[in-house]
Amino acid sequence: MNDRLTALREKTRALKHDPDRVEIDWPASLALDPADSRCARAARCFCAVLAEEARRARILPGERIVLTRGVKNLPRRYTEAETARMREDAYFHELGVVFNLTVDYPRALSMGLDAIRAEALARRAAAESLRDAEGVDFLDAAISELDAVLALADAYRAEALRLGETEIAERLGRVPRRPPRTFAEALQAVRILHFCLWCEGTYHNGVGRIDQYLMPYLQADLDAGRLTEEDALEWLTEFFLTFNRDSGLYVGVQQGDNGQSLMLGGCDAKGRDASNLLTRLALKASGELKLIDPKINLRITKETPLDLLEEAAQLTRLGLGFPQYANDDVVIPGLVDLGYDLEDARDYTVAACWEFVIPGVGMDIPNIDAVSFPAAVDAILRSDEAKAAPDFDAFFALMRGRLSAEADRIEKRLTRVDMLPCPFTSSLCRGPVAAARDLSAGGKYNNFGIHGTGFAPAVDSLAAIRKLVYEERSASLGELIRAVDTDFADNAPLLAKARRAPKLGLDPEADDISAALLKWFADSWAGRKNCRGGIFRAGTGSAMYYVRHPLEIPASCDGRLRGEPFPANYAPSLGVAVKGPISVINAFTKPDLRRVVNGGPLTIELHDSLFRSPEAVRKTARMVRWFAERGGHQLQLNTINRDTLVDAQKRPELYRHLIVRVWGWSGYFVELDAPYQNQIIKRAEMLL
Amino acid sequence: MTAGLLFEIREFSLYDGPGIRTTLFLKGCPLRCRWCHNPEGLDPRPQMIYAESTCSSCGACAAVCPRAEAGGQTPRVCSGDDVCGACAGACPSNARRQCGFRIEPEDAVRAILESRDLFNPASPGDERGGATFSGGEPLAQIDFVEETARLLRGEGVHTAAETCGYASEAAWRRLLGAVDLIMLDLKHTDPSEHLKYTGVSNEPILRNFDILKRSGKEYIVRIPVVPTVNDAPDTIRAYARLLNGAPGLTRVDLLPYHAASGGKYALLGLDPPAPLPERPIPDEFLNLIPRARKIVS
Repeated sequence: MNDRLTALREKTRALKHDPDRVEIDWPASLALDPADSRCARAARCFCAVLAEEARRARILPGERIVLTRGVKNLPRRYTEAETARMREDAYFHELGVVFNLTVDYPRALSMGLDAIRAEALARRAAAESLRDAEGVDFLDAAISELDAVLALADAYRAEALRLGETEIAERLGRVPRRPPRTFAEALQAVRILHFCLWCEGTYHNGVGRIDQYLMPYLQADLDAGRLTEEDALEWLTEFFLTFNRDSGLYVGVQQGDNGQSLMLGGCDAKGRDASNLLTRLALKASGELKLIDPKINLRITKETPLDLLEEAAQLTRLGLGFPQYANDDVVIPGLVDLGYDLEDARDYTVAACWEFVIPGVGMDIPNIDAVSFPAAVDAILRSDEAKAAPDFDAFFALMRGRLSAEADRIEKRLTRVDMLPCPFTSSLCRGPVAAARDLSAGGKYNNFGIHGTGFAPAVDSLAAIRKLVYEERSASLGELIRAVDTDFADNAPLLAKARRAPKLGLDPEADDISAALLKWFADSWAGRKNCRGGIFRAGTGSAMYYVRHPLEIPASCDGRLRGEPFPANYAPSLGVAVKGPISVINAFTKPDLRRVVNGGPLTIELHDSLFRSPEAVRKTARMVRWFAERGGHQLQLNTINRDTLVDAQKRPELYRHLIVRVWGWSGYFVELDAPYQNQIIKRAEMLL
Repeated sequence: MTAGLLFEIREFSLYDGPGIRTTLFLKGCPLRCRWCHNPEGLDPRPQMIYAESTCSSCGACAAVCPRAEAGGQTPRVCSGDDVCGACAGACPSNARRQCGFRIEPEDAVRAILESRDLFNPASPGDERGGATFSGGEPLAQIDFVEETARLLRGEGVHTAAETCGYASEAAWRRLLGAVDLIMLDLKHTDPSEHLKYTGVSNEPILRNFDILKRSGKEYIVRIPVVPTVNDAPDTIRAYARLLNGAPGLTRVDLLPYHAASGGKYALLGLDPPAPLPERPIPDEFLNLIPRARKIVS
């Protein structure tokens, strides 16, 4: 990284790039009209934000890719009373807007906003003649928002000219209005579009398969001799740095949980390997930057060249917590099984953390709810049917019904799901303008994703019940119920036995339970239709529920005490002394993971001392490919050291840059709340 | 009885021989090197270890401990073939753990074969991995090592041993017959210095080294370069005399000394050895000893 970028990076990390950023008292400056349609309301807010941003356009010394937020807060589209009324009528997921998606960047770039605007105008005329008031309303909103984006670009262009930054001005004279001609213009265009999506309130929006849609622009520059690979790396590194400029404003459940993900590698529409020079440059840029954004994902197969995997493993060595790997061999057929068109499935990316979605056409809600596996075990343990079960198979079979009942409950809760429109976001997707309907009314895919939390503790609890109650007959179901209710307080011997029972990832005896349980989970959602015309997809992710769900049950039969967290996503229970990553991968790839492609990675911790020699990188690459050979669906590796984490809790000022993988994203350890910090320390304990 | 006493099976082991390996750490060692980094491998009996840093003082261990004293305190550490491990089962914070478990060769082989796919080279340039017997001292459990290695050979798995070479000639010859690669530690060249720093003379080791040289086997010699102990110019020259022209010697690995690696002693209730000054490995080692290389660790 050269001095220019190093200086920009330091400034960004020290948050010195935004000294004038202001908080605006929106209600005072927005004349919200109760008669506004939803789209009009969205446009009014968006245009107000962009007008403020245009007034505050500023370019920092050394920047070549511009746009930095000048306003901290977005207006609330609706008053609390209005929101409450809307939420009485329907379920609005999280903030209630369109989110968890990647727009169609390749199309937006190749058309330019002028052409999209022209299409919208033409479509508006048609809608008007058809007396389609809803269509006109949406298209009016989209057009005014597109105009606001173009005005913002013009304001930045004027600022660039004022500063004598003629090259920046020249790029802004071209994009996003018209298609980029160069790699630099393409990067600037993506920066503007991504920036504006956030301004519309579309959160957890990724930038998708950048190596695919940006490569033509880079190739043209290389062919014409306008850029060298080294220049391209510099551009890309600065582009990645821009994801960190405003991320402090993009708070999810925790700082860092912002879904600024991108996907590298994978195949083209015909299924041919499509990794390219940009795939490698992107890995390299991320390694030079060593920041938490953008979150890097890499699509692999059992045939991915080791050299590419080695470049990816370099990031693991640096402890960035990414790339997160997704296996095309499993994910693509899994998506096709769920009804995705093959060409779309081949184009998959991740929504925010690990939820597989299709850029440009997906309006899936991949995190709409979560099933707690340990809560299901707790429920069957207490059931009358359990008392009558003659053997473990009969007991275990109750889980099937329990998971179906959970699915019934969730499905019933989700009979009316509504979301607020995002006309600008919609205009960048394939379909909404042509259909004259906002994406919130539905995309090509409208599926709901269901997480499954505490998978390993549930498997371990079932394995303990099998061993203690049905094999050894050393404890009764009643004793186990009493023990979990009293936190094993007066039954330490039973706690010891529960802890020594087979554990997933350590003892192959637990593997058959795991395979059946995951299958039943997928079965429990198969064939159900959701209220938006889509289906349900089961996954192995936990999101933040691994901290919340454990609080909803007492202790569990695997010896987990009250309040102790579950592992994140798809991983062995905390405190299980596994032999290493190999037997964990073996155990966790035994279930049919094609059935659970809502996503959720197998998460493995590696001690940082593993990477003391460069050969470790190639060997890690080998392990990753073996994971694909084994039929794993998704993998994240977290390189950590417990001593470092404990010290960081004590002296956070020394560890401002320490990065950890949390549940599907990398964050700065010292910026996490204590329960998340402590859970990661627990994961690291087993590496001592 | 061929069961082995191990303190760890470590998969994806990258620093105990060529390729990707699974390392069996055998418990029990005849040497007492002052710089030992694996003190849990010294005692040839199961031990309970205690990590004060993660202990929450909840008392769960004392509630189940048959050796708890009147005041309700679990012994800080205990060892012996009869350790019950109850405290480890009861401890909610992994502060109490059992170090040392018995395993039959067949079960050890099953665990090793989990990694079989990764032992094979992924491309022609890659080294073949396999299983490594380490410790502790593999020679101290030669029955287990020999049988496990025999089963692994039947499965086509490459085997290696990291050894101090301190054993009877008979045990040594059995080890040479059992494994594909020997990685022999030579901790000092001088018998009395060896005695001073490791508790035993190196005469049996040098005798076994002679046997190794005449065996036609390929082997690696490893020298833990310990400041003030074996890095003086005279000692380096003595190493050079010992190793120059040694038939079968493929490489000499120079392992650096780290004062900070004494952390595990506290887990065992032992005082860590007094730290020695850290300093770079002298270049004379590289200049005088053939095929020597410094290992990063």
